Amino acid sequence: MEDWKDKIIGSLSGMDRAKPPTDAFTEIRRKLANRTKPKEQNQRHWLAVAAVILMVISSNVLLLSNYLNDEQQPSYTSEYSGMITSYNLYDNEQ
Amino acid sequence: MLDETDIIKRITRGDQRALEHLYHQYSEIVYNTLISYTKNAEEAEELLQDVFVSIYDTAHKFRFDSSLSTWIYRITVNKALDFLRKKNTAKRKGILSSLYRKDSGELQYDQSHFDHPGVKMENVEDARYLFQALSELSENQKTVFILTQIEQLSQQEVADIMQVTRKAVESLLQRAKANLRGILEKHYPERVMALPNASK
Repeated sequence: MEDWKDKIIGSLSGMDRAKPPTDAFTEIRRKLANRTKPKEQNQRHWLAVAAVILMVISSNVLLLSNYLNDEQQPSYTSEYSGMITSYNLYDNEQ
Repeated sequence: MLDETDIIKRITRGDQRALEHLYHQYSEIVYNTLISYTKNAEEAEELLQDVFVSIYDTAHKFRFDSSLSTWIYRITVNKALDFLRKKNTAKRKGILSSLYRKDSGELQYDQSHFDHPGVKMENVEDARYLFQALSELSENQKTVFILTQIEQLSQQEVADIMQVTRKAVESLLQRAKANLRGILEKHYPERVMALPNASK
């Protein structure tokens, strides 16, 4: 008589193959497409960082050049001290 | 008709049509191998997608020192074993409780009654017992059993996939069958009772 355990162990022989779902490759394509998006986002992120750094550097250069230009300009500082010596307008009335 | 070397070279260059070509050639064996490990069609489908994404990503690493089918089987087996390890770890971490229905306390995802879609009608019940018992084998014994007995690969092909000797595969298969007998006897003693002379 056939051993029942051997019968169970051999129960898969000669079975048909299961068919994978028909849309499985569409899902694979979708996964590959979705996966490339983070790379693009990553590139955009670095472009934004580079733009900010460039902006900081150029504004610093602009400030520095303005400062140096100011140093070379003649000073227009006027001295107004003494123009108004007293605020007492009715000094002479007393 | 493209040969396998051309297909791999085209996939390396990012050609998704070549990947589709490879998919049509190998999706059935990959899916069937995965379903033997997972005993769940949805999980097998998810892993099938992961296997082909991995093939797309790692095609440049294929050195043509083994056959393409050996390489694809290797990726498939590794994906399946990784998946089962993660699942077992999750169970150990206490997520197991969430698998139970709150109302009845029954398992939500009870896979004990997995019926492989390709099994002959007269073998459905036996196959169910076998898949249940298979989950108790060690990784190597399970792999050898699935690849030789279900996928019908030769012991040498399995040795190439697992990167062990053919002798090791032979020994693993013997131990797998012996352990399966023990597991079946332990879990289904009613069979022994029903057929007292059957196991002699």
